[in-house]
Amino acid sequence: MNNSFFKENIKPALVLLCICLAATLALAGTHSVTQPLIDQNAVKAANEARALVLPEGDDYETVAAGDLIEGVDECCIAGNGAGMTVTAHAKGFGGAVKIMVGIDANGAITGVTVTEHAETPGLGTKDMTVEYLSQYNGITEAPGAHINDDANIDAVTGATITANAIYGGVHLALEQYAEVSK
Amino acid sequence: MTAILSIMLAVILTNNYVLNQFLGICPFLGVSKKLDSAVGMGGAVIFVMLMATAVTWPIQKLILDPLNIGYLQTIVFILIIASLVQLVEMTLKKFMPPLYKSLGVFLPLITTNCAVLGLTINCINDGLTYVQSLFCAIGAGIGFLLAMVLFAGMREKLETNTGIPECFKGIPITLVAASILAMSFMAFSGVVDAIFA
Amino acid sequence: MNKLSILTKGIIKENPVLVLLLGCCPTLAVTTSCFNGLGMGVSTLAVLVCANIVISLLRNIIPDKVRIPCFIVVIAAFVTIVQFALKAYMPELDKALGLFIPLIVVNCIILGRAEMFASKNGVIDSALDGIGMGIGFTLALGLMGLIREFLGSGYILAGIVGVNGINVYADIATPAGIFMLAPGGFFIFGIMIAAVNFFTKGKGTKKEFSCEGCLFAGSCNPEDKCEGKEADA
Repeated sequence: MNNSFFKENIKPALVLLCICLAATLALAGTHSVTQPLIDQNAVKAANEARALVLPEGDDYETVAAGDLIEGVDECCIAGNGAGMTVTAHAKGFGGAVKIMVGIDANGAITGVTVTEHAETPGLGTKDMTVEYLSQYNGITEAPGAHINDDANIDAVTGATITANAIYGGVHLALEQYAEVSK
Repeated sequence: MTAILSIMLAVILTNNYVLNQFLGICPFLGVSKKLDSAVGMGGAVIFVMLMATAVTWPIQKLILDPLNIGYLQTIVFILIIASLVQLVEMTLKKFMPPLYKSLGVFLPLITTNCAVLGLTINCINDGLTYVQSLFCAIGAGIGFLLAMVLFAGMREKLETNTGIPECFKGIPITLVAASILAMSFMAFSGVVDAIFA
Repeated sequence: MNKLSILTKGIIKENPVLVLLLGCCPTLAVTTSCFNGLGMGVSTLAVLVCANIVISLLRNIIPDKVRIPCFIVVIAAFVTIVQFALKAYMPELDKALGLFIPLIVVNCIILGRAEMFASKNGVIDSALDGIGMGIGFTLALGLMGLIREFLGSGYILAGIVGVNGINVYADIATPAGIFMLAPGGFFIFGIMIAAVNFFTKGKGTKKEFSCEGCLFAGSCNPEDKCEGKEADA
């Protein structure tokens, strides 16, 4: 009687518990090995993006999260006075498009790059080429509510939603710049 | 309020889980032969999605994140969904036999429906609040139901069509039909944005 | 069944995607390029082989009652390990596959093979079965990615040959971007299955979904109204 109760109820629970424990241990092990690498990758990617959008920037200092406007993820001011880099996101076709914008001390854009996105390869990614994004260089304002309202910036035919997301991100970045320089 | 509405409309129309994000394709193709089973499956999915999000969100925010064990997310979420489905099945069987009769057969299939796991992970990744997550779950479920019902209607028409080439019969022509349905849903992109612009 | 046929059956005769119609979600979602398709295929292969081996080893220890939760835990653990490995060593691929990496957990191929094969067969057979099925899945996804890439973006082998791949149209014609989007995915998948049907003349080709890949096939009561069975009849 007792034996069958054990077999029917306790044993399955024990086996499941053991498997869960073993799985958790295996994951904890993998996590501790890979996490430093994952963090390194993130830092490396951020540094590369910064070097691209604000080549002269150095010795960055991060602005406190409380001072960021909605839609801006990060704002780093270069310690050498070259300007700042702002990471902002706006809604694209496949989800949020995250961009990093470099702004020099005079408020003019030095570079834009897309850091994270889920846009359609071959379509939305047409808006992420260096040539396309270079049209933002030098501008100081992006006042339009939509990219089509702004005569200075062109959208890519067939990929307007992504182009507009990038435009929206630039708009936010410039607003953040104004906020910080106030 | 507008944020919630725009989240819901997006997952129902523009970012429909089945037709745009390819989540839950197996039940979409497998259980859409007849309209009544499509409705039953859709209903069961809405229910489980809501329950799963209601449980997984607090667990992520109150247990996994504070303890710094976010890496257990996948394991924990799928176990919660599986046990939740079992629990719902048993509860319905005991207390609501009529509802169990109409939804019961679909419940076990939902454990392996990637739309449910996808939704719970998406809500965390997108940084939605608890209330937004719940509405997102309802919206995603409604979107799933909508796609299932529309598609079941199309398939009933396909069944009677005799002009289909031999090698296209069955699943291939069904997929082509799904492609056309997905194309029609693409027309909604922009509409939702325009409403809330 | 000899060892070789266990290994090769998954590649063509019982190709999980094109013949058994399992794992449709990742097949449709990540095949916007050949590279992504192959990446998804290899990730799935790794999980499939590991899960098959472990489940086969544990098949006499796991009580029947808690079989499914045990399988799920084992599979989810391997999926998370693969996810970390990708994040650490191939961050670009991890970004491209995104949500569909954790979703390997609910890929019907893995649960289906655990339930239908690994829980009933020895370790070596299960490993071979996993490798065969995984290769079949990888090839199908790679091929579909290549076709969609060719029609939709005009560049092939992006990420494999250089960052952008080979420009096949040489900017003479405009590629049809719709093949990169959801409708194109459904369409190409339909055409590919039709082509398999055409060449095999329907022989050994299942045209409908059945209990084969259903997680609950083993515990399913034949009298129950199961939608898969109904479709098979």
